[in-house]
Amino acid sequence: MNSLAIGEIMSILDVRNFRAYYFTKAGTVKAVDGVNLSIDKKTIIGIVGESGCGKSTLAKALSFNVEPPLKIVKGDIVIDGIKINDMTTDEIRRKILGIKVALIPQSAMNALVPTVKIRSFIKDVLKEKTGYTTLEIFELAVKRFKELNLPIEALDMYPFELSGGMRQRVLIAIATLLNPSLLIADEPTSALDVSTQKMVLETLYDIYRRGLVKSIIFISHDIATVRQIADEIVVMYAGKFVEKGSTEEMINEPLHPYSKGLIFSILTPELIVRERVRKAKEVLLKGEPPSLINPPSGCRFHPRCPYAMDICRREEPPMIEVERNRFVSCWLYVKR
Amino acid sequence: MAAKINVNPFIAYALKRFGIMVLTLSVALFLIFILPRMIPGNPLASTIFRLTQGGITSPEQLKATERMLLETFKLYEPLHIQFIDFISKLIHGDLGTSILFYPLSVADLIALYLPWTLLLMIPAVSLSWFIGNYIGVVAAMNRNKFVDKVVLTIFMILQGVPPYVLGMYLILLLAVYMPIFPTGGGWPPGMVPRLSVEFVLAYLKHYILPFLSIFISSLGGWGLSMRSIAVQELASDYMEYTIRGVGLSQKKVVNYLFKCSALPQIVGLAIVLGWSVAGSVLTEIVFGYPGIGMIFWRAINAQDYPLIQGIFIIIIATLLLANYISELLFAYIDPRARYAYVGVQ
Amino acid sequence: MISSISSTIIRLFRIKKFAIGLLILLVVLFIGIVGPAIYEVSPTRTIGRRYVPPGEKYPLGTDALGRDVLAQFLHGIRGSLYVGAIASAISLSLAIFLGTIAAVFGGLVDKIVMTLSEILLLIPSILLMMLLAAYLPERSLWIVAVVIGITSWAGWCRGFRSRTLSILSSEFINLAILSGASRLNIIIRDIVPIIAPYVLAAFAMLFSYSIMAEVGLTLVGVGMTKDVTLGLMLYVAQIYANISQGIWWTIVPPSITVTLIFLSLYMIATSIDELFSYR
Repeated sequence: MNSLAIGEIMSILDVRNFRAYYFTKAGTVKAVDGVNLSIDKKTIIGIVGESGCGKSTLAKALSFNVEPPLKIVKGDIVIDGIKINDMTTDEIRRKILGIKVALIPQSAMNALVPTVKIRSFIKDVLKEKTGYTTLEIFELAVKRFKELNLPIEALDMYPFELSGGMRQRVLIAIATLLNPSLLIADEPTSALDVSTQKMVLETLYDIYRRGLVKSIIFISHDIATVRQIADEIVVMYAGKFVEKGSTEEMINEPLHPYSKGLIFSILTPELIVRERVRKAKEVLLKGEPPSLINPPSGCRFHPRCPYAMDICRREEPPMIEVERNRFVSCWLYVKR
Repeated sequence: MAAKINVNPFIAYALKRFGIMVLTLSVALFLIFILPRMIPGNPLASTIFRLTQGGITSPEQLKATERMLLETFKLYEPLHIQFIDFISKLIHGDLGTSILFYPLSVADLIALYLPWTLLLMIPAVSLSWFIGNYIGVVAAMNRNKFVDKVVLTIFMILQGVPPYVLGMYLILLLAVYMPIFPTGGGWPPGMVPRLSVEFVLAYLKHYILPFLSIFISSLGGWGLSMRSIAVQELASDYMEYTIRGVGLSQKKVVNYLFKCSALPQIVGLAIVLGWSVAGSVLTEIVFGYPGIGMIFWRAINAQDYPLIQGIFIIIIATLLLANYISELLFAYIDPRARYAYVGVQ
Repeated sequence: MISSISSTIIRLFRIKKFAIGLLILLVVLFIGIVGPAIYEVSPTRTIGRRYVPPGEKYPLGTDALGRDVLAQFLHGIRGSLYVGAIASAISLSLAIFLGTIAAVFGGLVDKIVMTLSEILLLIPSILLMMLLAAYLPERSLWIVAVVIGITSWAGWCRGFRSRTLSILSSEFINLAILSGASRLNIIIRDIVPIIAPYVLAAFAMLFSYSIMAEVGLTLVGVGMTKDVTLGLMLYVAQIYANISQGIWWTIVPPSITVTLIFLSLYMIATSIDELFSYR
């Protein structure tokens, strides 16, 4: 992790008590229900959780992809010190998207318009957001492609001429051409085979390493992948964050029962060498994530939690800092 | 043991469709040949009548003329001889001689009138395609808003109005009640077509109403179909990313959306252009516009079967060719279609 | 089964397009059927001076031959509707029959039907009509209707073929056969509900197509000569150059009605399509 230069204060992202709901005929889906996230240094944060926990909604909200029935109900989004909620959609489009924040969508493989050559697309996007000439744009693109080990020939091709993994990497390159401070990657490796996954992860880490982006939010259900690249991990459940910490701490010693279940159930081979495997077997994840229209009372995990106590049914646990930069939201760790 | 030849699926498809085209053309040629010939009555009667106006009055001369005409048109020969004669002449590009317009050849007549039809249809259809599709895309992007609903209603009504009905109304309104435009004809009677400013201006004045009737009546169809294609495209991953992920401007998005949705419309355009020669008939009749359609009508009324034949051949050939080209276009542009077609059917 | 039919019908009526289209069609139908019976003037006899504008004596004026235009209009609607009904009935039957046997028997039968339909798709019906036009100087609407019917089945034949194919290969048909239900039972309970909406939509579109085709053929002069249809009204108006003389009453009523019939059927057909393709 790179440390800050002395005196340099960065607030890349600041989101407090953020709520985003879907207002549908079947009911109000509280997909993101009170989430706090602050990024003030160079870091890669992985947000993990099962499908339906609200992480994709969070990705959409953070990249301003919000349209009905999704609505931001509460909470400001502040990026690089700019309060985004006050801006009009058009301003966001012109000044923020691709410039301060960039999104790698879940459908990245199919996100490039098939009837347009890559270089034409780049030209159209950059002409929108900058005053560069066509030549400058082309030079920038070539330079960036070379830096990221992407073939320059791809610039003259149509998206369907490239393989899936290549398309994903090209998309990452295009999205970050203007060096946005924050990159949000929503399940970037889910549809890929292992070797392509590796290439995509390398590309992501490459742009981070070179300082082309300041921080990345990597959203995935696949902890094994997240842990390869993230510095910190946040576990999300039923619209809320339940635990935060550095990758090492989270993998080796998860605190929240849900985190334990998640991490141990997937990373068992590694843990077999450690004695904690005995404790791991206790926490087998049973059941399904709850409905977000009518979430359970109190702690949302209590119906599935083997350690559930009476208070868990009644009251929501606060997020407390058990150690430096180590947060968990669980009554087990609240000292009375 | 037979060796397995690996044929490029596209070539295989092209050849297969070509075969069907040839087959259809043969059947069409046969029908074109035989049906007018089954018409009872004497097609020469009107010609002979016309000739009598011109001065031949004695019965002997009439009889001689009739015999000569019969020989020229080989009406006494048995059908199969006529057919062989027909096909061999066709291969040489000889479409026969018109009876109504004797002694002009059919090929000459077609060459004379076809350009006017094309001059009317091609710009009208193409412009209608372009503008109709563009409005369709804009409507799709403003889906369910007021603008969209208005456009939808207008287009739906428009696409049900045939061009000749629209033509009739245009004449009533803009040529009779408000005599802005002439009521018909290609150019003022008495004027001879030539490349002079005077002629071009007069021609344009006569051109506007028929042009409008075709243009407006086709607008609805294109708009509606393009809109539904564009609506589907808007839901695609790439359109969503372009609009919301990258944030491209409205203008560029319309541009991209148009390109993505245009493929089926291009194929449609090829087909419509193929039909345009046949489709202009009624409009030309209503406007008295001197094109192929007009001549066709007169040929039918006078039972001038070489001319009818000739025009039919042109119409069918254009249709089949346009159809074939559109099939090839579609397969070429969409690689998935090539492979699918070779297997199925 | 009955309840699901009625619930579908109710849902259909909720679609605005369908209701409006049906309403227009019913109004036109009503006028066409009841009109001539009420208004007993003959459409074919000369009863007054030519080109009398609409007024007290003649509600829609007279045409080029001094005939009552309103009578023509009412009888014309009836005539056009007849043509539409007959032609589309013929065409639909042919399309269903040929399409299904092509699907059921496959092989050579299938190939023949497909090639035939392909050729027919490209050769306009006007050829056949012209031949008949020359043979029979007096053409009734039956003849025109039959010709239109036998030349327009090609497009819809494919649709029926592919739908039959997909039904035949679907799971629940096999189950139904295995379950021992009688053939008739299978047809009524399983096949018909699937095919029914398509048949209705096809019928609506064929109906409107036939009416338009009749107008087109008659305008060129190869359509009917005897019975009154809206197309014939327009033909007479065209021949006598009514438009350029400003004689609008022979043109406006038939053309508006033709357009209305087409539109209403189009609305009905597309709303049926919409409803059933969302399932």
